[in-house]
Amino acid sequence: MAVTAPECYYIKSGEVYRRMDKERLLYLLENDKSGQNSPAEAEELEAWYRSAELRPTFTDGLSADGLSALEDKLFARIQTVNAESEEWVDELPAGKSGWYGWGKIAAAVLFLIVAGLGLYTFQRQNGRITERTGFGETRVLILPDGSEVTLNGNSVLSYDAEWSELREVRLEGEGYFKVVHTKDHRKFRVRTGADFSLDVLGTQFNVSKRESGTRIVLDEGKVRCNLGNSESDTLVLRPGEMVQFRKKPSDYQRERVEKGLYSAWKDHKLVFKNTSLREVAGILRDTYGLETEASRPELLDRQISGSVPTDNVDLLLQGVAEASSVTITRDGDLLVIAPRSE
Amino acid sequence: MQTGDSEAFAALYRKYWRRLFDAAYRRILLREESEEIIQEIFVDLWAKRETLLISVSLEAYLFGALRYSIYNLIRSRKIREAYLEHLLQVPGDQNNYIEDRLHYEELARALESSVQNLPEKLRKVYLLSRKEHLTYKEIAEQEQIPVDTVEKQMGRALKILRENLKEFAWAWIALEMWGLYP
Repeated sequence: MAVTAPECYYIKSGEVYRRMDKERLLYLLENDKSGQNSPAEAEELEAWYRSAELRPTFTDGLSADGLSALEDKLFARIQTVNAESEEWVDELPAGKSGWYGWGKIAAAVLFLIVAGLGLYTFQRQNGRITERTGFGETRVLILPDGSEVTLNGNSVLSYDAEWSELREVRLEGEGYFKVVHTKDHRKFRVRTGADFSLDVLGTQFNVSKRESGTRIVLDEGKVRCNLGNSESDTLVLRPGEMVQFRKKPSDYQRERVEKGLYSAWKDHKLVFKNTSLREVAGILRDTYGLETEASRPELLDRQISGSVPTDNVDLLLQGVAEASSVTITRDGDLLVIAPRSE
Repeated sequence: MQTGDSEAFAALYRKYWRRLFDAAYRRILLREESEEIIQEIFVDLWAKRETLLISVSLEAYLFGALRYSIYNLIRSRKIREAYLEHLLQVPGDQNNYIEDRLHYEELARALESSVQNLPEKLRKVYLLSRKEHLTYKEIAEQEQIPVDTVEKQMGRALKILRENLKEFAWAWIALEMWGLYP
């Protein structure tokens, strides 16, 4: 996308600056992210960044008291978050890191049939709004408070038509949440089961509750996971962190992950990074309702990296097959993975 | 820093926070977002303190992280488009400066007057902890009172201050922290 900005200059302190416009800046920033700026464009962005030096210094205009109020307030914020993260490091039970890899867990449940029983129990209640997506379908929902939820395929989101003090939604499946902050600081809660929910105040994150387990990935903001019923059974997530567990929330595992990796589906692509075919099969089952069989079990250990489009399942499968040098044959809802005959 | 020394961390913070904050504020002219960016940079630094290998100077690293955060903020469209337009149009807008500086002056004033209004005993303990940077133990020795009394008094002082400074949202956390890190 080439955007040409009107050539516009201004002079300040004897230097000539090119005036930046919004589209141009966003264009340069996008390019900067993907490393596609030409040397001239990179210099243009740099010049814009530098031009701000012309503005006065904010803290110079503060009194000594104002300055120390700001210094202390900021430091306190930092220490608060630091202290919270230290807490959970201490809380992590030793030796829990044994089951690394979603893949191993997914392998054990790969051939289970999705049991939708849980869904109906709350769908029938009166005064509730229920939204569901079919296999392979993603849909963007706007909640009554303006929060946005992108629902991945084969997922159900439900909530009371009239929210009381608490904004609570229930999720089966996978959703990407952009929660807005309300003026009266009302809590937003996502519940995935009787024993697990999380509370947020204005944030972006991905929640996935599938047969294979529950997974929370936080992109921005702050969420608190409630692992049980007790007040103290909580953990606070920071951006870029993921928490997952198979059945019991208390057996959670926590790690740092690459931002966007787990929520790429909402932009109609799947991003893999050393992801095994076993994990891919889990996603295909959960989101597209496709069961996978491998002609040789070890094929499922193959790992792939890269991204594939999700709007078209056949293209997706083709991409996966390419990346892992296998053939994938589709027969209705059944996929058969076989080695490529050379 | 790499040994996880919190004193070294505090020293780094004191050395760099102001220049970082000014650099952020100049570019986005938003007080809260600037605070958030600086917070994230230091939280990140602390989280990575044992693994981070900086191949450039720490200063270059911090200002690089700052640039990255500012770019991200603008890219993520968390800044409203209309505001971005305004930001780019006006090279030396002073309005935000005045309003935002006022916020910190008010915070300082509100804190000061709340402290003045604390009951005598609580104020003394609070000031020794906050201004003289004494630990609870040191205060107990100096004032000839048990440590848990110091703790209780500090707790009461913080509770009162917190109540008084409610409208400053984050300020109450600041107070909490002074309690945690006397």
